[in-house]
Amino acid sequence: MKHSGEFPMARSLPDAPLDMPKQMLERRSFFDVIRLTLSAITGR
Amino acid sequence: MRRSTALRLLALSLAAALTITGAYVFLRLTGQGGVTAIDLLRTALVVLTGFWLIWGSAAAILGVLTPSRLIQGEPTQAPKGMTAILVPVYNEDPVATFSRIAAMNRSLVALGIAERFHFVILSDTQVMETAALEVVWFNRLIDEPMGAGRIFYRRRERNVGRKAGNIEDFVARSGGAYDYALILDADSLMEGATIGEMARRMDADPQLGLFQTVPHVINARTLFGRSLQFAAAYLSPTFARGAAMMQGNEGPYWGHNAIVRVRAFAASCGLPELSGKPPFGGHILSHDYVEAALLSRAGWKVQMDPALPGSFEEGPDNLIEYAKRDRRWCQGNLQHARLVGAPGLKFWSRFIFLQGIMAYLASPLWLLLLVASMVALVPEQPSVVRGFSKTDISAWTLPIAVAAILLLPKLAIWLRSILDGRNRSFGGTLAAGGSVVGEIVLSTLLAPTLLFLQSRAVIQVLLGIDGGWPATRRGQNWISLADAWRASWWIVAIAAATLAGAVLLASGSAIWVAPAMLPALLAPVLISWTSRPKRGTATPKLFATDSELAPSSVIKEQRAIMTAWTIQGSSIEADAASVRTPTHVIA
Repeated sequence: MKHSGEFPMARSLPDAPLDMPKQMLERRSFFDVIRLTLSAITGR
Repeated sequence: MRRSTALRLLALSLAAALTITGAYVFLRLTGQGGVTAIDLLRTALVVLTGFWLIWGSAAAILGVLTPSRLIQGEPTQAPKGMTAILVPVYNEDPVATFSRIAAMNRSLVALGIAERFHFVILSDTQVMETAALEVVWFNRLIDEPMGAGRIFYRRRERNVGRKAGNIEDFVARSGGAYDYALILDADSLMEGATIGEMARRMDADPQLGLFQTVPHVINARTLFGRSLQFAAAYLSPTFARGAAMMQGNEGPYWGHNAIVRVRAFAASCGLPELSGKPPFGGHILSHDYVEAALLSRAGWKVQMDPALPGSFEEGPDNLIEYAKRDRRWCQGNLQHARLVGAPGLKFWSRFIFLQGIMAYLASPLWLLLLVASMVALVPEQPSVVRGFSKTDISAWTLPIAVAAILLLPKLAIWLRSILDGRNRSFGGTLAAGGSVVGEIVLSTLLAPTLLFLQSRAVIQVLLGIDGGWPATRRGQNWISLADAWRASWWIVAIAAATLAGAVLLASGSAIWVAPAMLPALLAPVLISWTSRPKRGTATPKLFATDSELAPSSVIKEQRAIMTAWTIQGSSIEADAASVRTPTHVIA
């Protein structure tokens, strides 16, 4: 979300993205682990 | 062994030992001649509720015994790191919120360290009129000293993920430009010197991931609000000091008036949606506790310093607003039941989740204990375990012990404040003592009402039912008797039925039931009476705080700005008509 050009502070808010990966908070079931492993191997 | 670990073990052992002793005394008293099933249930409830009661008091006593050391560097020394001061807003009054930002900015400018701090207003406002006013008042705000290029505003059209999502959006888009982020609430106010000190502490310790201050409540206007304000200013720092001693580097995060290391926060605190539907699935509501646990999991220090002054917030001014907030916190804390077993968390983080859950589950458990105690009076119940012989232990032993556990920490804080001279800033020893007694009386009178409200909140959350509170208008603190009745008639009905049942069916139980049920009968009167605003401008001696008697400079500055802006308001807001459509803020 950005401000349009006519907004006084439009170009001042720094454009400096930072990755914020989702954390794992729930334990995965055995089948979840197999499904995730397979999807990682197949690239899907 | 680390000091915090040793203190945890000591406090846990003490709480466990006293709980077991209390449970034995209870069983010894109730199980004379035979222990029934209901006696065993009651003993289990005494263990569950008693432990957390003693645990809370143990933290306070530890705080009383711990010296308070204020470590503050040179206020004019600019920190090395760059800090974004984040102010998330959601349909708030822009004049009040932005005047706080202006006051904090002036405080930083006066110290000569403002260039190391940017203010970022993160609006999630959904009411278009309020959003338009935010833009109007933002244009006034950037006229403040050094405002241009240091104060920013952006609004999301949809408040995805609520406050946590709002902060996450900022971190994902602009977080890389800052070393630290000071996270505030719309009603937060902090001294420039405090803000500077927080950033310097982050500079000094590269392993410090989050630093939390203990905010004092200010600007309360009613008896209820001022009693909370007094408790936050006079009692809370000691409770927090005791807790901080045990927490060590696995301290708390309360979601505001705290500074985080942006890269640590970004790498560790991206919150997923929990599987399943609310109230236990979906977005994590009480995100702050979880973020503190995640930072600890990643090896970052999370610390709190109750001695650092100059951190303020506002609180609810009546019991209805308090209960609404409590309802949200209840849902958030109970949701943590899903996270107690989350992979990799430290033991202490899991314990804190459990403590937060029990803070709300305790209320229905106390009620259950009351009901079970009435059922226990039904004669001719079969024994399931061989009973005890007659005892000389008085039946009043446990009620007196519970009262002592509740009152001792507050009286100990008052005694310590006599010794260290702290009472002077609360109007003197007599005034402070009177306020402590007043707080004890008022909280005792309101406790049964809160017990019922919290129990209902827990049941509503467990059943997935909406709160359904009557609407209160912004800025209107006073709750009429009619509104109070609408909110609490069911409490009166339950209390009356319980008292009547006790008198008619087992008159001997009435004396045990009355202390909880008589104040509950008065719930509407208490709610309405405690919501009356104080008269005049003079500060009443009862519940007088240091911030009322000698407001710090940022509080005085904010009030002056607020007054000036309110006078300007009508002309500025009239101009808002020309910018009602915020075309300059696009999604």
